Amino acid sequence: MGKKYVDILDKGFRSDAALYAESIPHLLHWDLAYFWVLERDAHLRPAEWGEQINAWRYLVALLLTDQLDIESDPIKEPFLSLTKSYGIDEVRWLKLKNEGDCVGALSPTVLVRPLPDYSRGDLRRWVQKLPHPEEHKPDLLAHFVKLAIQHLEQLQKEGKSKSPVPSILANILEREFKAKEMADPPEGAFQPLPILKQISWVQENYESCLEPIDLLVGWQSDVPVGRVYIPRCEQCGAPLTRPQSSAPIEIHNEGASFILDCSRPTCGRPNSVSLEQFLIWVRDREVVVWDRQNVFPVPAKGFPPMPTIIGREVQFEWQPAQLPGAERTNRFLRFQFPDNKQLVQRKLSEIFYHKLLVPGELNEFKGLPFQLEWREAIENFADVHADPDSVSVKVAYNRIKVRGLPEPINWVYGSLSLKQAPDLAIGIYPNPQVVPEKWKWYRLFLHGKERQQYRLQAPETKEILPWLMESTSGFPKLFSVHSSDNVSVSFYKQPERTFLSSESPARLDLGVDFGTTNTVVYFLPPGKDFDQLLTDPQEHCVEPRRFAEIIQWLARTNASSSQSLGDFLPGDDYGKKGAARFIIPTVLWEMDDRYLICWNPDSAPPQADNFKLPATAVGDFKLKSLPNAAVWRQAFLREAMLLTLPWALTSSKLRTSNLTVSLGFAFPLALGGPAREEMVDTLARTSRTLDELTGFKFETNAISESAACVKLLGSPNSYDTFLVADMGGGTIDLALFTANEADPDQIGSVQFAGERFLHILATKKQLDQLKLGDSIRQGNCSYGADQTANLLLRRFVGIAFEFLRTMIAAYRQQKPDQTIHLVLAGNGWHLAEVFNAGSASYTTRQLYNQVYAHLVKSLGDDKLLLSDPLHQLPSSKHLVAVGALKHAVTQGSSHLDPDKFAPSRLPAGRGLIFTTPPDDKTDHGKKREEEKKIGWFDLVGEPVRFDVHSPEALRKMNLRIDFMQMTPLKDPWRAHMLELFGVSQEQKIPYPEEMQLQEQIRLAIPGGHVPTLGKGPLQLILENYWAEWLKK
Amino acid sequence: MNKIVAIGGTGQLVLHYYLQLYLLGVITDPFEAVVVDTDDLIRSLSAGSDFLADLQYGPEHNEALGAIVPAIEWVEVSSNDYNTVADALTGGYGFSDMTRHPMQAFFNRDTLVQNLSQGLYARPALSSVISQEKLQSEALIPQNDSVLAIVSSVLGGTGGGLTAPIIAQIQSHAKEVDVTMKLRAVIFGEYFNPDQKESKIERKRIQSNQTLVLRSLREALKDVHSFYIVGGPKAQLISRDAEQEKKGEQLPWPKEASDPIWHGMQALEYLFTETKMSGTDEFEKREVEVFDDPNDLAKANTRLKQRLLTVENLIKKEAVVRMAKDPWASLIWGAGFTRLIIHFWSIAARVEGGKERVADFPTKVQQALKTLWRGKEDQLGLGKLFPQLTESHPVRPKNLSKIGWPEVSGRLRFDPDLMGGVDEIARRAAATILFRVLREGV
Repeated sequence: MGKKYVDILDKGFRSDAALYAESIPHLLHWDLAYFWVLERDAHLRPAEWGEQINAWRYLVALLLTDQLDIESDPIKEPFLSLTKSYGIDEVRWLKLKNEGDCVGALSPTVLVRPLPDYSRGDLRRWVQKLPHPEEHKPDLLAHFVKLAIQHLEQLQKEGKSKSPVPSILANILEREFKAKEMADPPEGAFQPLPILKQISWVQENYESCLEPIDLLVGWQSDVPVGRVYIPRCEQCGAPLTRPQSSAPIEIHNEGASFILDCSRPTCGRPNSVSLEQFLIWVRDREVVVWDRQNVFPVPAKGFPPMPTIIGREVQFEWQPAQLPGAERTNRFLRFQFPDNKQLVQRKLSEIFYHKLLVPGELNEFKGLPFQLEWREAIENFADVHADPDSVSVKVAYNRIKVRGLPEPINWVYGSLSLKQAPDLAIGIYPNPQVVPEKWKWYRLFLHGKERQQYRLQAPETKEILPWLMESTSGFPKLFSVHSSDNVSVSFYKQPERTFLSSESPARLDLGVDFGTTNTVVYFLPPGKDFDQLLTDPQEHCVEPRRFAEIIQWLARTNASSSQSLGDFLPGDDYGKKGAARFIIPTVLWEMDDRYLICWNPDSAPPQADNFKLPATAVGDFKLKSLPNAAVWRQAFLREAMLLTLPWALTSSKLRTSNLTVSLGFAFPLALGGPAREEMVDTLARTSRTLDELTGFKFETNAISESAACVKLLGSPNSYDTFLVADMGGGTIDLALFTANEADPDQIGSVQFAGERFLHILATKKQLDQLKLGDSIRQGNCSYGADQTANLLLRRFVGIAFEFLRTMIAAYRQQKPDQTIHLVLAGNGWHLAEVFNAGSASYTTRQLYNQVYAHLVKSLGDDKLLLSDPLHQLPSSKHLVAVGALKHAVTQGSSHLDPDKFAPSRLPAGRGLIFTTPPDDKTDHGKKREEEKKIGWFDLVGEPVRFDVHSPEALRKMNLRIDFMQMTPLKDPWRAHMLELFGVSQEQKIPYPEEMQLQEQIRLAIPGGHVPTLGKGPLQLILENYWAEWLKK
Repeated sequence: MNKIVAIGGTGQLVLHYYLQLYLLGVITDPFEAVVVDTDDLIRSLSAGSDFLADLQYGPEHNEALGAIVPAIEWVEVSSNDYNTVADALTGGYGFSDMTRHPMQAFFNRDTLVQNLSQGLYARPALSSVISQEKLQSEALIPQNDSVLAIVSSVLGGTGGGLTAPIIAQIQSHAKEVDVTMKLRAVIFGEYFNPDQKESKIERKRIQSNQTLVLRSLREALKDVHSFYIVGGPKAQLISRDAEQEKKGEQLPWPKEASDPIWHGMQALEYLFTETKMSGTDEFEKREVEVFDDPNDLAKANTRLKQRLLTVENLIKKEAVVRMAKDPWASLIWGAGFTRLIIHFWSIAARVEGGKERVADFPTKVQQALKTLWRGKEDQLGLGKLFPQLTESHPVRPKNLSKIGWPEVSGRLRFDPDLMGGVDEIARRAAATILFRVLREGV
């Protein structure tokens, strides 16, 4: 009977079996495991329990010889709710007497036991501090073992306990220890100990499952048996201790040593003694007396006795038994410190983090455990390094020289003291290896989806977000990361430099197309000429996704993320598809006075518990005259250039710190006078900021976007005529020119572009315009098959083409036979690919060519060719940036010149008739009403070609608009236009009220001295009336 | 009525087959079953439990038309409020090696860092403590003078950790309400080969659990009358497919009677019916070492095929619809069957306010039969409780007439609240038909 049960138990306990305490379904599983292992004969126990059983024997020996301190620790909720059903409401920890190390807990089955986290080697460390009583006091131990066995047996015999534990425990003690009473019994004291009444899982009425018994253990046998430091005379070896009554030793020297004279009359030698042997560190206004707890390894000469601090004095008292000849009088040392010092006893745990945060992979962890404010307490701060062990999940720090300790200590964090955050990364941008030493701007950041649970702290940095700090004073060598649940880590990182501090002068040219929606940057390293750039443009175009390549990671995460890196750099997915690959969105996250580029409007920098600063995406600020727009422009340019420059330096393989950076900026002609001045100011400020933060010298060269295209396509050897229409977000920048001629025939800027279309569509569809723009940029727009969007786009493009047609027709008045190459540059034209029902079945370029070739053909001009002169560029958007770069390369100027903004010259598009007002008296006081006509083909933007003495006078003249005087409409374009406007004849094409348009024409007349029309009627109709009409 | 307390995955698996044998009439007596598990009820048991609930006709939950039927309850003991054990014991606060928390006197760090949402990692100590409060369920209280059998394995976190506390709770409850019962246990020792890639549980941990849980059960099973250990050190280990078992969908029957689950089920039936073994104080002597299987696997298999074929024909041939149109229905399909349909049809007519309003009742019953047997998108049909049949042949209507249909005349214990509308009544009628065909079919 019972064969299988017995068989299983026999096999389960044999020496080669693995037995895990947590296999026992009980709260007291460790107590029961020790109990059930110990109740078996030694050869019938699992071998793996050998060391733990030895540790148990050591603890029992310490308990019986009074070498343990027992400390109660009440159990609190919610754990209490689980333990109280066993009637257990406290834990009683065991600590090595006078040492403080927690080594175990009282056990209701085996008296005492090691803690569940006993590690191999713990016993060896304990014995180093407190020798095993079996060797040190064998007789005393045997005496109290004997008494314990007798007492336990008696409990059973006398029926004082119904528990089965005492009798089994008596057997265990008898088997495990030598038991013999001493002839001269030492003094003993009763120690109350809990014993398990029965093994049960239900305690009726929550009655305790424990009952107390009193066991006689040794008393006052607690002379510390560990190694104790005794200062001794270097000459005669006598202890340098003194009577308690002798005057205290005054410590004036803040250094580590002082002099103690040998008190032996025959010697009297002055001995230099170190305060560190007494665990004392004198700092500014404080004398730190370190607690010995957690000081490991134990100093070779041992610890001094426990100190007593009274006022300015600290006293050490040795036990007589610790001194030669059981010295009873000369067993004190008292040190007195100056008045201005305060004596404080501190624990080492105050300078270390309570719990250590491990961002990234444990085996690559390089963090430090010190609180930043205690940095000075660590003598070898720069040399301490983490030694992570991913197998046993711990991080060790070895040979830490703590000031005030005689020898280096080790500090270990076990798995429970570690908070691993594998998804949390820490980075610094840019990597100091790619920038020169005088570079001052760095971003320190956390990355990962749980980053908002953490906060960075770094001296001399500005907080942008709690997990994103900006330094403008150099590399952030020292910083710490703290979690909301009080787990921390520090980092100390000296920048590694590979950047050669060459002083040979060099020049880096950058071309920036600062667009309303998107910005593109090109760079040309020294030694390369412009033709090389045109051969391989992608190598010279800034690709934001690759900024991540120059992050210095201090902790990495494998988790790839489409989220912005550190909330300021584009994520992994940015620009993988869509048009975004080479684009920096001209959009900012605004958080009060903090700005970051908005790489993804769907992913705002998150809020955190202690950080509530809502982020608002702001865009379309390039041309705006809002009060904040200038701030946004400056913030954007600063951010874009600081992110871009390190990457441009790396890609250019530049290694000199004597660098001049020439920035060619392109701006639209649409900017009016005050806006131009503001832009000049913005550029100057940006230039100064960059000078300060990078240590380089900056030059800025502004050019109009239209002129940039002229610059790029212009050539002394070419007679080709181009009409470049660069449709960006805010304007279509137009230039009609012949390559070998210095001045363009027509040039200008019309505020009718991509953002206008998106605004109308977003209004109609009730969408967020920024998000719509981003989805187009990322190639995720889902309105390709939307009929409203298609129709709207056809009308939008048709209207834009009507203006181009007018320009061409005006040009034809002078040169009817010249071939014109129409270059549709800019991302605005690419909306055709996004909002087209057929987009799924064509490549984007096929679609682009198909749509616009059809429109060009409809214009009915045989000598107008759709052209893509620099098709090797990633996108026609890039013409402007490359043109601006060419301008910067060829300009070589170091100052801004607003006159480089060429004056606008665009055809009027509709007829204008100016007449002098009837009351205006002219020559000889006669009233005269002479008509001054401006034809549809006349260029406005230049001074008017009739006699009027001032802009003011021009404004005062009567004005009529002849809407029908326009570029002749011929089929098929006529039919197309009528269809677009939904009318049957051209007279019904919608126009604004004449008075309204007159007013707009007058308002567009610039100030100054020269009477000039700022904008013609067709441009104003386009920008104001037809744009509004599209909304309907 | 006998009570089965099925603990953990193994307990559920035994109950899965035991319920089938009951529904096929191989096991004659109804029973109460309580499943205690940290995982969900396996889908087949859930479907079986729903089916048994649909049989209710009288005021008691297990009172079907003309029969007392089993009932299955589920005591969920999962503890997913916190991520880690340490969080659960500290209320979400962290702790470290430097400031000790009392839980560190009881649990090692490996246990404390376990993520509770991912299971109990075969640590009985953990489940016994963490899930303790959830065991105070009235469902565990046995009936007076009944036999209560525990079915559990001692290998995993759930069975290993909860068996002893559950037994303790049951004994305590019984004492409180002054109930006498006979306690028996079918304990599964090592019987399967752990797939370490799948379960992350090492075999040596399973063996440690086997040893120490059994050692603990000695303390818990002080009042046990008899127990049987399935598997153990010399057992042939089988492979398990945890995912399939959780679904419980058309799990095949064992080929051999020595299969540990079938064997455990036979042990359970044996311990329920055994009356000769005398009580003894010596724990080891309460172990049953050998017994004769109360049920024959081959015979049970034959019955399984016959009954499932009958049900399939009943559904495929739309028997209820055809029967309603048949002027000689009673002659062909039998009076018992037709009277049963008419009985429920009359209830429906009364509830809905006239027979003309429930003219399509037979169609609804036929649809309900199909739904109950084959299931819906989100609901497993009763047919999926049984293994998949590979053969088919027609069943003649005459066979249905031979079924022992329940008597529907006289005073019936009837709960009108159960008959809320025509669809519900049709469903209960269909459930009753299925129950009878399975239990009594020929």
